[in-house]
Amino acid sequence: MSGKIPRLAIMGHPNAGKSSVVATLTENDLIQIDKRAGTTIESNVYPVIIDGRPVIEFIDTPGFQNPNAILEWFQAQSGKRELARAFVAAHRADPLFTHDCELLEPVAEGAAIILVVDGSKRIKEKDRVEIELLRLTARPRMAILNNLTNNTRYMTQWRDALCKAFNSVRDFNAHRATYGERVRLLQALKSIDQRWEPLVEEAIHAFEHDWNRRTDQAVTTILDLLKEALTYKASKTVKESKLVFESGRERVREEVMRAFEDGLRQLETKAQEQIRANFRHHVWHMPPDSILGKDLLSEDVNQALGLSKRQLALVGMAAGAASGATIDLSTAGHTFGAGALIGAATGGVLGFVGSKALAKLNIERASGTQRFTVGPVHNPRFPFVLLDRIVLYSARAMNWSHGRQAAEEDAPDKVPEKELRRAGFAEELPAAQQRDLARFFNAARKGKSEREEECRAIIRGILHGLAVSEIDSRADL
Amino acid sequence: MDFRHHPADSTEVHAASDEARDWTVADLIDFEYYLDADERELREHPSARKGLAERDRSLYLEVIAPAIGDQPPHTPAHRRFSLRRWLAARRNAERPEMRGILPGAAFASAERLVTLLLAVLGFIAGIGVASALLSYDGTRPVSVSWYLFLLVIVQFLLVASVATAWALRKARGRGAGAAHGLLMHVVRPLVTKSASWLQRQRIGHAAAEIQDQARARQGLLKSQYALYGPVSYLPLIIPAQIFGVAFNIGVILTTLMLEWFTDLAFGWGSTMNVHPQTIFDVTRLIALPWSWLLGEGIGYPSLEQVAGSRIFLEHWASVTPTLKPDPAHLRSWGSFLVLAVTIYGLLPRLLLWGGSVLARRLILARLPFTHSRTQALYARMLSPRLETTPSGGRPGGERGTEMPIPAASTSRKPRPGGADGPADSAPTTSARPWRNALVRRVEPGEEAPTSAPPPPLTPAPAIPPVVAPPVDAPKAAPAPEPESPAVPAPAPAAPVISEPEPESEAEPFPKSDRQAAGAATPPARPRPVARPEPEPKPEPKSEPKSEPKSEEAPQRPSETQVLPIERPADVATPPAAPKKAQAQPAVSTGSNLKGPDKPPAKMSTQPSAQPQVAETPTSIPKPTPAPVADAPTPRKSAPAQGTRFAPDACLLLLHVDIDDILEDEDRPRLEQMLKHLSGWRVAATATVGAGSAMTEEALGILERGDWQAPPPRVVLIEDGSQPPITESLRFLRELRAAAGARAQIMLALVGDPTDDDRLPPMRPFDYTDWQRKIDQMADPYLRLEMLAPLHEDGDV
Repeated sequence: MSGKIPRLAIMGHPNAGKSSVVATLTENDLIQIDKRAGTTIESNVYPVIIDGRPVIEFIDTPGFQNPNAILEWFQAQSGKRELARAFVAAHRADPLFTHDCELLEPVAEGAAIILVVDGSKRIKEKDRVEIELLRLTARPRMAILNNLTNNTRYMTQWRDALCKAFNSVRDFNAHRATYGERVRLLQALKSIDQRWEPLVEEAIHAFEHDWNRRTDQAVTTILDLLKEALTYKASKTVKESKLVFESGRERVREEVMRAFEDGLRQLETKAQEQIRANFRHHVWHMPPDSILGKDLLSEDVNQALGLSKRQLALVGMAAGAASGATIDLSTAGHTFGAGALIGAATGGVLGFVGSKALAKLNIERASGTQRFTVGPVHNPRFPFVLLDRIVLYSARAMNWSHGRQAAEEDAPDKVPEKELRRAGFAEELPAAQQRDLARFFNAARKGKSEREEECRAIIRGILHGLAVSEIDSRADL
Repeated sequence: MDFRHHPADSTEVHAASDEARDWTVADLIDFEYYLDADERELREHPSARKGLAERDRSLYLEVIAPAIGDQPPHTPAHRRFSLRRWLAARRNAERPEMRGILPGAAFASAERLVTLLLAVLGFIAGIGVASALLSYDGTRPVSVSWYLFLLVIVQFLLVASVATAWALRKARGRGAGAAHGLLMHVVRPLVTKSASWLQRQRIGHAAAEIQDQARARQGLLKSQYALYGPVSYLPLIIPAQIFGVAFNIGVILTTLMLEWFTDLAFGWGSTMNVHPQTIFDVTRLIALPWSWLLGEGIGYPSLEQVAGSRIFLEHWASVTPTLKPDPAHLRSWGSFLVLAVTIYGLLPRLLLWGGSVLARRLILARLPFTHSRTQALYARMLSPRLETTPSGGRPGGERGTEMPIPAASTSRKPRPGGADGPADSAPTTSARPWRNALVRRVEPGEEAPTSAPPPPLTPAPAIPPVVAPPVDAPKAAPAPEPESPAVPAPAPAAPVISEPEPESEAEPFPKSDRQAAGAATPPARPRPVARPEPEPKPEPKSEPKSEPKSEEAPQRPSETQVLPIERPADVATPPAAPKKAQAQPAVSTGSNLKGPDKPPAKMSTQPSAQPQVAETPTSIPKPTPAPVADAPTPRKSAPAQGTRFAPDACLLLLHVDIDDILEDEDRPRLEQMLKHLSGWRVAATATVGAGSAMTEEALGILERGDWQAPPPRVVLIEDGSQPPITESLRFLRELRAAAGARAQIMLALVGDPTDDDRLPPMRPFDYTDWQRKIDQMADPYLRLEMLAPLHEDGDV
């Protein structure tokens, strides 16, 4: 059985990015990757196991150490059939060839070859030697042009050189590979050897299934976050005696407010963790100036995400109930909390978002005590900001390739992430969907569920668009 | 039947029942219970998702899929069946003792218990009511009207009202599942309470170790099964119907018993003046359902009997037997009453009972199981489980080692390619087709190659006239000047050099043969190259190189470029002066190729330009022989006499990767940089890095070289943007072996070339990478340098 499954040896010279490719393909960021050469010192097998049954095996190999010698040996032995096997047999004892034997062993055992080359560099002698010697192994083979930069001038040259010796040649940026790209690469594996089609198909199917499931999971997490955040309240009961002075009152007010804001932040953090686990990331580098690194309630975030004022107004009007909140807003700070027991007094307006109150403070007086309550969030803009931010986070999680851990973010010729407008995701939705979201938010504020299915579909649509790169992932935010 | 012990205590029973294909209410309750448990676990430990997915998927694959046949997934039937199987599997996975404690089992038992209880109660109530109504002390006959009113009319109206309520509800499109006040307030609490009581009882009876575990599950009988609509209240209706049925049976049995075993007198009376005919009509109406079978007098009393059974109280009060009623008339009502209760009491109840049982079955059969929690489970079962983490790795996991560092070698023949000697010559021929291709590609860009092709056709002499002379002239002129001031050393060397050249020419043929035998690679290459047009190329190169380098030239086009550099070295040797005359023509050939390079560089630093010229003449003769055995000749010449290396001159070994991209104008710069770095001039250049043959040649130059100040000086330039590999280190070892233990070897690294700068500084990161490896080689006479100083990086 195991003899029949596709086995793919990922080969190339040291530091060509073999491990990155494997990590990305198998979504495994625990594979050791280092920008120093020679991190991989033995062939590691990374099987794709579906229901306990291996379907494909990717073999991460160490880099070629003696390509010239291997080629010459191959050429000298050109009469033999199983060159790789013969080579391994002849050199196993030679310590200088440990890596070469290690990497040729899978080939000797019948594995197909995926050659990973760095498409950003010009073709060197070593590369040609490797191409030639892999050709001589006579295994089915495919080449991956792993171009981590935006330098494409050598690509055609590479393509020419590779096409002569390989069944197929594909571009692949192991550091940027999105889900869609990954699936396309897997699709290409079918072209290496037709007999593998069913198994590769199955693997792709499983990957897709798995991806959909994770997307659904992420959508659920996002909806839960929105619902929780919109009903979140913080409160504190204080004895009347401690509120004699205005300073004491002020302090309590601040405490409650802080608790409320921290609560919101924690909710977001929790959701982010879930999403991250969901997309299987253990290693994570955040660009230092990312919106995600900023405080949820900061003005920067508020500026960058959410709906525009005009959209918000339109949505508010159309959503009916939402307008209530909008009107409320304009008078926030002057209205009395509805739930006051005895002579409620508004404690002022807290935590501004977009220069509008985030939530109101209610003070309920009961015999000898006062209860300060903040929340739930009141600002109509806030849920959109929160949604945008968590979607942005999801986008990062989905499209952050697992092979990227060692990426040098400061490498001079690293691909500059695409240029884009600084706008949130919600802002680009059609108005009808924005209205649906607004209705959902309004209902959620009251603990009810309205239009949840529509919103689920909307968010799923966004995430799906992100996965297949139809929607820009705003990597610079 | 002791309900406190679940039948499953005797194992198997429950498991067997789980094979059933249909859902029961108890199943739903357990199903919800399991779903709830899973969901709670997920909420508390999000990481449990993987475990759940694994469990459900393997349940599906191992248990469910085989049983389900080839039904396509995502159909309602498939969903129902899979979920039911899943439940069965989950239940069967419980310990037998626990199965009875599952809420579903408790509920089922409770339902049975309550049903039984209600049946008994109903039966007793029936007996009670009937016997109360039928109490006859012999004085006053049993009142038919009361009996009929209570047991037939009231009951019938009750049933009818329930039925209409149902019908109405159906017509209105399913009123909310609440209502049924009586059911909800009496039966449901009853069922719930008894269920939890049963659970407690069973836990109490269970083994101590599972008690704790079980307690956690107590009280899980939630009303979540309201999700399933009517299913939630049907279980309550059915016991109610059972009660009715039992009640009626009790009534009928009691009535029959009393009629059989006691003498009952039935009568009717009314204060109002009711004509017996009316009563008779009513009676007949009531008896309609059965009058066709049991007619007047049997199924219902006749008019005469009706009239005869009328009770006038004064009769009994006065006890005047005058108008003694006919006992037969008084008994005539018996069968009528029994039949009436059966038809109007028992039958509707039976119908309702059957109806609700049927309804329950239908509803259960039509449950779609599409609410979100079920969906999640179903998705888990259908999604292939995907794992990509290596499972344990390979057995010999510990054998991985760092990149091997070759040990110092004393002899120079360890290369594997060489080891398999016999095959050498043939394979080498076809060794690197791209090298040829490369050269050709290079040709257009660089003058050397282009010029090369023509010479071959018409041997060397032809070439010089073409273009060379003019070019040379200017170069030659400047060259001499620098020479004289520049270096005294070169001058002495020159004569020597001149000598070797001629020799080389002379010997070529014989040597070529030897070489072919000795170093298989060189001979092989020339052939492939030569045949088409390439042959010519090597020749011209060989001319300039005349010495060792000529060997390289034939092999690789790339080397041809190198030659120019070599020449400078040669040039350095003074012989140039005497030979100048000859040189000019020769130069012309060379000049075409290399002319541009040399002039700038050499003019400034090296006198060599002229000497080269001098050499060329010697080379000229070669071309002629070349056609025959062209390539070999030059090589042999090399062994015979090495290049002369002045005390401050070195051998430059250039990696082909760098050599390939260097433009002519870069070469002087390279020499400049080397000089700056090491203080050495370049006496000879060779390329390395494209196979053992090339290495062989390069080392040959080194070994045959005439070193003026003994320890040889070698500079090796490598591409530092590539990490070091064993091969690079091995070459260093070979170099060391060839050069001698004390030879000064400098490894200069360049970065990845760019358009502006083909010899850029390397990144410090790469440098440290190399440094580590070089350190590990522990070679005290090996120096690692960056060719271009790092600080320039910033400037660039």
